[in-house]
Amino acid sequence: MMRFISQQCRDNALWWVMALATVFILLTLVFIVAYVILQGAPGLTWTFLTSTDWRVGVWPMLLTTLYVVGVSLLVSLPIGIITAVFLNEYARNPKLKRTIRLAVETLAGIPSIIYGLFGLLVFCRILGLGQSILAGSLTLSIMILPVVITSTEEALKTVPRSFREGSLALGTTKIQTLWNVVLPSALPGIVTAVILAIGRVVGESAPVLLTVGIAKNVPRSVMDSGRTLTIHLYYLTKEAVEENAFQQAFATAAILVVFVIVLNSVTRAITRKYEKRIGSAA
Amino acid sequence: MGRKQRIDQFFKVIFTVISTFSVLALLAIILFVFIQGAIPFFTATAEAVHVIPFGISSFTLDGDAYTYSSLPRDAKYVELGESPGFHTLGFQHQDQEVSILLDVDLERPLPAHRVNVVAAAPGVVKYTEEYVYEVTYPGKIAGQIRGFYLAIPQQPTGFFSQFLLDTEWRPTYNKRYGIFTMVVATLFSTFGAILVGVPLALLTAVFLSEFLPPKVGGFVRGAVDLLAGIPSVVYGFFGLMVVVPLIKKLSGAASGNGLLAAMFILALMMLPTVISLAETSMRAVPQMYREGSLALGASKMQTAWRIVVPAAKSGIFAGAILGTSRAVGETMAVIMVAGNSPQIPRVFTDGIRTLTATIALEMGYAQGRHNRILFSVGIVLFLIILVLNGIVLALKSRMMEDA
Repeated sequence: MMRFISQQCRDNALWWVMALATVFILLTLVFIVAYVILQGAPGLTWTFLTSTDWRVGVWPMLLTTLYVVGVSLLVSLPIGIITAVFLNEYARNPKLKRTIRLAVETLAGIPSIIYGLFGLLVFCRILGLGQSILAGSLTLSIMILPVVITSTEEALKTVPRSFREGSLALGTTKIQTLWNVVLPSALPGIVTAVILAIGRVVGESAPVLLTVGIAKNVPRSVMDSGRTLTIHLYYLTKEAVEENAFQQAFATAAILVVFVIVLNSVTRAITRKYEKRIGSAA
Repeated sequence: MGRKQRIDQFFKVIFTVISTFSVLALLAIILFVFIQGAIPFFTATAEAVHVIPFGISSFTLDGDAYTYSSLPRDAKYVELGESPGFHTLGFQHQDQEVSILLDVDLERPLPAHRVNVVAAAPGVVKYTEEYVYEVTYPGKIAGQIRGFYLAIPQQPTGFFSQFLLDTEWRPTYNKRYGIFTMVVATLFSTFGAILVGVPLALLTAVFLSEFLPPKVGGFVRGAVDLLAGIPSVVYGFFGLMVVVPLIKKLSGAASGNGLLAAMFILALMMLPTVISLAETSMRAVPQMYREGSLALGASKMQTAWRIVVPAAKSGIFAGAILGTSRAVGETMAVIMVAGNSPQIPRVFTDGIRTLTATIALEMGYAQGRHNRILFSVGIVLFLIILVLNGIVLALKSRMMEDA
């Protein structure tokens, strides 16, 4: 009986330790988000968002970030989706499949700064693009490839075999089945992949610093150097020349955090809806 | 029928070609970074001493006249002969012909002794660095330096003696490229982050997978996802504004930037990775295991820690190692809170500089060998990550076998 009680005491104590750990993590998250948003909110004015003067606003940085996201998705999405389709629908050769999977997993594990070194060497110097939005986007497009491939593959796996068989039985070609049946069914999953990729690109900083540069002006084309929001935040805290640098830094950080929260909610909403649909279909 | 097959065949070929892109990209990354980073260990920076005129439009070298504008555009220097011996540099200074006699022998062991100025007017030769001599004739106007830089070729850097195990990092002044302090800093900060982060993550993961009701669990999972999505600069910024001042206040040290702050931020950043992998693998443990354990009279807590955790240990390890490689590779957040002085930390509040921080901080202005050495730092980082990744892949395949 004594042993039983002490066991229960120990169980209870451990339960509380685990609960505390969980609550600590939740509170830290809430604290970070609330702190950044509350401190940044007063600085988030219309002028701040739209002023082209880097001392006052972040319009150049928003535009640069948008360019970088756009170009890297433009390069990465077709390659990533086709690779996922190939792995899931076409590949018969197990060796080739394994090699591609291994490459994708290794790419996913490489630290972003190494991508920065590679991009700087190959895109900026060897291909002569210099520090520019294009060079940075190409670098980041390789970096987000694993995210796009793995999430798209997950989405393709959820499409039931019967869909493909039904379509093929109607006499369509494999590519027609893919285009008209498989991809539309997997679309929510692919959209999730895109959102995850956008999140990675917007939040990335080290490779962007090396390949896109730190120019503060509004970029005129993708060949210009620019400064993304993350790099702007870094430089605001590092240099802090302007009087209101920290106010601006808080506002910039708040934009990033709000953006992440929005992306996160959209992903969750899509996933939830999608799961429901799959559930009702089965 | 034939047409249909041809179409499918056509797309299959195209898809195959495009799919190999990931493999090619990986090979290209490894190849380019490794080659660029290996150069300093195999080649000297130049064959001979470079004479770089500074504020001088024309000069003579061993009797041959040069004008600055006649030098090749991409190489604004003249090379002294490879052979050891005496060389005479001459130039006009205040309507006087000035000449400097140099004694060059690249075979001498100490770089500082490889070039000597044998004869010159008094007080005009300024030794600045081991690999660069500055020979100057200041005019009457202060700050208007006229003279030459003599850049001495650097021999191949010894990988262990002058790079990995050397503790001096003075790339611009003494051309010393020792990264030992940074390797130590990376290991310390990562190890500290593991000590804090992994237990915290494991406790949360067990709680999440075994004890929380699904609704609350979903909420916590969402929070963990959000934690994973926050950009690293924001973590760095938060560390700089909140954690660093707090450490300064509590420890009474001159600055809160340092090892402790880096450890804390890295621990925070590795949490989501460890939690989600550990939790996923625990949820994959068959329900039978739990039922069997409970049927034998074990408590829910005993079942969780003695049955489920051991059964999911491959996944938990994989998560911990993946989190570790995140911490090793993290750059910007660490730069913002770690203080960035290349030294071996003695106390927790000492500033540290990690391998990643060095690359990001110095790539902007690094020239010549310094620039290539930063790629070598990248190689060291790469090797650490490849080893960690190898372990994760091995664990993952074991997880597959277990399941």
